[in-house]
Amino acid sequence: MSIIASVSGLTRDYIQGTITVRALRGVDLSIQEGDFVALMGPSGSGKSTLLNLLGGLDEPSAGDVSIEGTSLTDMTEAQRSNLRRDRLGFIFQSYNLIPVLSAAENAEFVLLLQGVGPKERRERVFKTLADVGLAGMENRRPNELSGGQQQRVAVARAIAGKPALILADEPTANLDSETGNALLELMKKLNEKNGSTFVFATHDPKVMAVANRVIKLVDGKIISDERQ
Amino acid sequence: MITLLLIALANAGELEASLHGDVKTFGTAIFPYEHILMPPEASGTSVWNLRLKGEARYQDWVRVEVHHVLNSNLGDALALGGFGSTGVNVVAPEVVQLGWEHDIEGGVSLTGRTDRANVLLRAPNVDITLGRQAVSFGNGLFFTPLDLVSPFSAATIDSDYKPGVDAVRVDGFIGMTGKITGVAAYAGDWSADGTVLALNGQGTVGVTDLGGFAGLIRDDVVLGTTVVSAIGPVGIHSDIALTLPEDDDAYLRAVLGGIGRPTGTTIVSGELYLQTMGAADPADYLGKTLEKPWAEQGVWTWGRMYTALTVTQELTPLLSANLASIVNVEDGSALLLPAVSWSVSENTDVGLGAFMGLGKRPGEVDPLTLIDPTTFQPLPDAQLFNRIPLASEFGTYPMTVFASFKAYW
Repeated sequence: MSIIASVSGLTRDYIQGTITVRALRGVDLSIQEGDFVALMGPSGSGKSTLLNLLGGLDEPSAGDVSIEGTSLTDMTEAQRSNLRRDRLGFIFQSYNLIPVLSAAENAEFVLLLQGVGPKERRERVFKTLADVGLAGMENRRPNELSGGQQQRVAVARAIAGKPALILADEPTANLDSETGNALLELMKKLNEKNGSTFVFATHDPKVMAVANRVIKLVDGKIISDERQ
Repeated sequence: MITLLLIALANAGELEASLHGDVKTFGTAIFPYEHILMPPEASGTSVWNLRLKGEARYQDWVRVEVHHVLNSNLGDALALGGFGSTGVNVVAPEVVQLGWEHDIEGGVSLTGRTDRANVLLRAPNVDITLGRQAVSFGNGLFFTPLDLVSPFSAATIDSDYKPGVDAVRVDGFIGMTGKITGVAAYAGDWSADGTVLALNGQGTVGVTDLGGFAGLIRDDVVLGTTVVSAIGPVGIHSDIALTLPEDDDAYLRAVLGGIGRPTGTTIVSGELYLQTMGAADPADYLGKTLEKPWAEQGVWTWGRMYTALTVTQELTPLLSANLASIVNVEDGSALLLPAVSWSVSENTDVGLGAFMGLGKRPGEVDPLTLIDPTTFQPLPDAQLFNRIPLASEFGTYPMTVFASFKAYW
């Protein structure tokens, strides 16, 4: 298994008034291809901070993040943006769908940015939406879909670009238990079928049940890292 | 409640008290052009506004002024730099919140606010006003470089009342014509960036009023002069303000204007205006709105050089027509403001008017380029505005028409 992402000595400080808050304290971690990782921990433990640093959405105070062997530290913002577009997929708690676009157009958005041609875009989008259980709903706008269906569109958008790593921040937090379970099963299936690598920041114990690796953070440090 | 208390005191024979007010209704309609900056279709707003004005005087040395404003809105107005705002429900930062808001079903909102609540204490040669009050400096008509506390845009439909600000004001009178005014006003918080300190002095030499201004306006040093005079039958005014920000380049705002009556029923006024911090390139206009003069100090024009001309013609003793134009000299765009006003009775006016933006419309923008490719959210304003290059200032504005009804008692 190749290493998709790695962090070493990762530290992130935030200045709040006169106080410096250390959100991450020298974290070392490697994510392997095909991992289905749950970052668990209480609020303020640093899991979302770690996720943002893995995604190049934030810059570390110290330490380094590498994606597929390339250090983000040495990249310009434009290079990081290209890397996010081409190699990373993101799933957000509140879905972040573009309300004026249909499900297919939302899923197609990343492919447009990647410069994929129209025919291939259409094929990939329809196949991906079918993979997430939304066949026949391609032309619906977000306000015509349930919360679970909207998050499925977000999953389709995240995987449509064939990223090396999918980062999901509390993807089930806005969903009821049954819908959340179904979504997790879907992502697990995508992980097993396509070998997609997922990292979740989550409070949801259900994620722990389906993850093959659970990393627990407390006060900005990894206190356990177990495969199951 | 306060007003009733004042009336009760008046009945006790100690006070002179009065209660006045006005009722205003406005209907505005916006006709957007096709662009991502514009709403997708024409929209209308209806505003109903009631202002109760209570005033009480105790002999010659105390005056209490209280205004309470009720405002009801139906529909959403497009607020692009204050353009087309009715101006009747503008709120300045408040030390003490004296307002309330209630949403009624059907898109109607009802708000109430105490817009004036101040006490004037009068001693020989000194007036002290404490509390919520209107604060204004300078003499500009369209362009007001010295009006540094909650100024109105010239594209405001009704500018009868500036929003009250929480302030302490001291006016000292020297001789027959000299006056020094000091103001400390709250403008958002108690830091230097959230307060206004101003000192204004004025005196008269012959037919000319001369003034000097010094202030610390939201942490920026501002120095200014004012001149009001007359050349023959033409009144002349000029305001100049030099702002010296601590961490940015100094800039100058200056207006020179005149007003005259070529006939007994015609009034003509004009102004030339310069603001050196404005953008020379229309592509930079939207970015300017994020900078301090626009974001915090109420500057509403984006360019550098302007002219304004207005002609008011009395058609009958009760009916007058007004045509104003404001031109951005550098990009060639213009704002036309035609209006008619009819005095239905002694205390009742009806008005009709429009704001017409003339000039190049903004170029087409692919909306998807305005979305962050990672978070799928709209880009932050600073990046967003760089991707919507405007082609002219007033060509950016949609056509707005309005009707107003005002009754005073």
